[in-house]
Amino acid sequence: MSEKIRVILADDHPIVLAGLRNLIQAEADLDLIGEAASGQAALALIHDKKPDVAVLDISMPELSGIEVAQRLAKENPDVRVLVLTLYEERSFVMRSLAAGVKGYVLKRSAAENLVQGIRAVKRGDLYIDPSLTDEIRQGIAKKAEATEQGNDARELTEREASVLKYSARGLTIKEIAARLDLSAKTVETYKSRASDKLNLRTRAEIVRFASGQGWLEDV
Amino acid sequence: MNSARPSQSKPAPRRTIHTWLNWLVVASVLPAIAVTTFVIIRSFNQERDNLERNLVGTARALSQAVDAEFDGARSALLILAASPHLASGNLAKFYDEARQVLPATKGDNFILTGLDGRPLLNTSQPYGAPLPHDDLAPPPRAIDMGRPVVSNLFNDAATGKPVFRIEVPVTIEGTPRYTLTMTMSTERLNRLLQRQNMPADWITAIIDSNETIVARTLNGERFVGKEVSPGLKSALAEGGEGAFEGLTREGVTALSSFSRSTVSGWTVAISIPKEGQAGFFWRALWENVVAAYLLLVVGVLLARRISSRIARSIESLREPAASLGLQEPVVLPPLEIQEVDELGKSLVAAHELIEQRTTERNKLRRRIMKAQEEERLRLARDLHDQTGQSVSAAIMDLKVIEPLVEEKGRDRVRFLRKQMEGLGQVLHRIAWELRPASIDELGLTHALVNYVEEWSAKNAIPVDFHCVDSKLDARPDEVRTTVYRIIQEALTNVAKHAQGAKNVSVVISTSDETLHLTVEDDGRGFDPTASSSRLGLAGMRERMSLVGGRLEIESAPNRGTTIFARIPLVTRRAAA
Repeated sequence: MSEKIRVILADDHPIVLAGLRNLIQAEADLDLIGEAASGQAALALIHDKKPDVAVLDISMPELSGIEVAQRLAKENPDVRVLVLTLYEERSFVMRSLAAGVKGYVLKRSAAENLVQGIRAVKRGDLYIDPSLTDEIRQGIAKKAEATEQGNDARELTEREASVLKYSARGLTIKEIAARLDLSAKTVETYKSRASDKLNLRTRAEIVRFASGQGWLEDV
Repeated sequence: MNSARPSQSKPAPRRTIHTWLNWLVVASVLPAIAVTTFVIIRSFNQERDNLERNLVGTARALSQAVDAEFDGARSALLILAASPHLASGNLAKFYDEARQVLPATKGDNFILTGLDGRPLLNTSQPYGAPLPHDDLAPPPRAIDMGRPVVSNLFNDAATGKPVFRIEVPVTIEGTPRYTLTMTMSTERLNRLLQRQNMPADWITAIIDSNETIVARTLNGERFVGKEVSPGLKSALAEGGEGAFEGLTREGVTALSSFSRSTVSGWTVAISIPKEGQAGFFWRALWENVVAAYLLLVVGVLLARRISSRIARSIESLREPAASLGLQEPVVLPPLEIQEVDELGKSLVAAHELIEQRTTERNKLRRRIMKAQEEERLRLARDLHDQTGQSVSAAIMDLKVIEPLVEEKGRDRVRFLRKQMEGLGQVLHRIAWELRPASIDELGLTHALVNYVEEWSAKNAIPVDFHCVDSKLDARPDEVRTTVYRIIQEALTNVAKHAQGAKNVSVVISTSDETLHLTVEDDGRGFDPTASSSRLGLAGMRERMSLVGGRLEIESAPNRGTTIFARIPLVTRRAAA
């Protein structure tokens, strides 16, 4: 801890900004070198001061915290960005991480976690608010699960393929039956037989498969 | 509930137009038939009375005709009886005279009989030839009676044919001396009867005073010389003239009349077989029945034609009526019945009114929906931007204050801060449920992924979300909100109703300028025709109708449920 961590803050809410200021100034190893009330101002300030860590609110006028992070990833990759937000949804976290954000801290737990977050980010770690990690881990695990099946449309008869194609396009059994001049019962049989052959358990899988076959284009 | 309507009586019978018209036909034909039948019966009875009266008159006239016939013969006899040859007793000369006169008369021969009953001459025999006593002929009675007499029928000894005689007494100078007789064959009387030109089925008969049939228009060869029928016999015993109903000699029931001549004591009888006159009656009745039947048949056929026309007209309104409020144009087929046509026009008017109201209401509902959505957005923003931020700032302040507070109060400050953190979480949750900021901040796709994951975690059912609309986040506000709300509603329904669902799919795709939302579960399912009034479905339908979309449901018990929501991407109608 030879040198203080140089921090800038950006939030469009003055009282939040004041709270953050107090939090940071209470820490001996942190040095608050600037504040901004909008994304645009924050970007200019960062260019000017080159802080170690930029603490950004996500929802800000002009540029959001995530957008600022995106810009910084290109223009000033050395500046570590930590977003501070009220949003607790996974998608915000994913978007932020994709934009190059290194830290994600909820405002409601900022009093507890912000300082730790700033230190972790400065060290080069990824810091995600501990009250979120369970959900995030679940989400990331799910993503890995979605693997492509090696199924083949050639296993289908022409009729089965048509039924599956129309089904993937969102037609009801009755509508498919009308288009192919078949009974509803027959259409259902074709559909379940085709799904069995390709081991497609859900409609979304059928759609995904159809999409992979190029069946959903040029409709 | 006290019904203001007075119609608590029995429910009116519900029958087809066809049945009603048939009733009309029967109700108009049957009384007509009853009246004509009554008229036929009454006129038949009058006819019969008339006939009876006329028949007696006819019999009397005929009887007089027979008398006239006899009169002719009697006159000839009386003139011959006054012959001077008889007075002078020159029988040979009288024979010659009689032979000369005979052809001018209606008789077969003249016979002159003495007071002892022995024949003195017979113009059929040569003069002077021996004349045997005729045992078959009745003895002459004219001398005893003192006036001309007509004998009863007997068989001629020479020819064996039935004949009768007319006798006159011959008185010379105040003393009866002979009986002059003329023999007549029944032929003459037969011809007399034929000349009357009676209706063919009438039976006319001439009867002598012995009640033996002398001539008869029907079956003469069988009955001439026989006794009359018992019916006529007893009627004759009662009086000289009358009518009665009884059996003829043939055994046929007939209406008969008779008239006895006081001069000759002979009778003329006329019989009309019941068959004949009743034939008229029955034929009239039969014609009446046939006419009634034909009328009924024609009426029923007409009724069917008319009723099928009416029914077809009304029927053709059924489809337009059923499509009322379906936002499809009401097309009226050509209608040939004015009332139905007017009904059809009312339908069209009603349709237009519904359309107009629906459009107005939809406009209003869209505004309300939009306002509601905006209000939610505003509330959510306020919660985040003001309350949420203030709470955050307060938490941070509490953290800063914490080390400055004395040992005793530090725990209280920490506790307060934890409380505030909980409050912040709740505020965020409320804002998210009102309207996720992610729809606007990150786009609909992300918001949906969030929602789906949240739902999946909460209900422990895996959800397979697949979106193949790359422009989803750029769709108009209204479409995006609808998509989010529909999926939200559909998943809420799955959680509430689809017990046992193991997989849920949420698919978003586009085709034919239509956005397809498909939400499928493999849960319990239901019968969509039976419970279409589920609140969730109604809400979804409402939302869909406001963006001009449609909702289709495919489900069956134990077969899962699929919700198909289609939102047109090109505004079909004025988007007002």
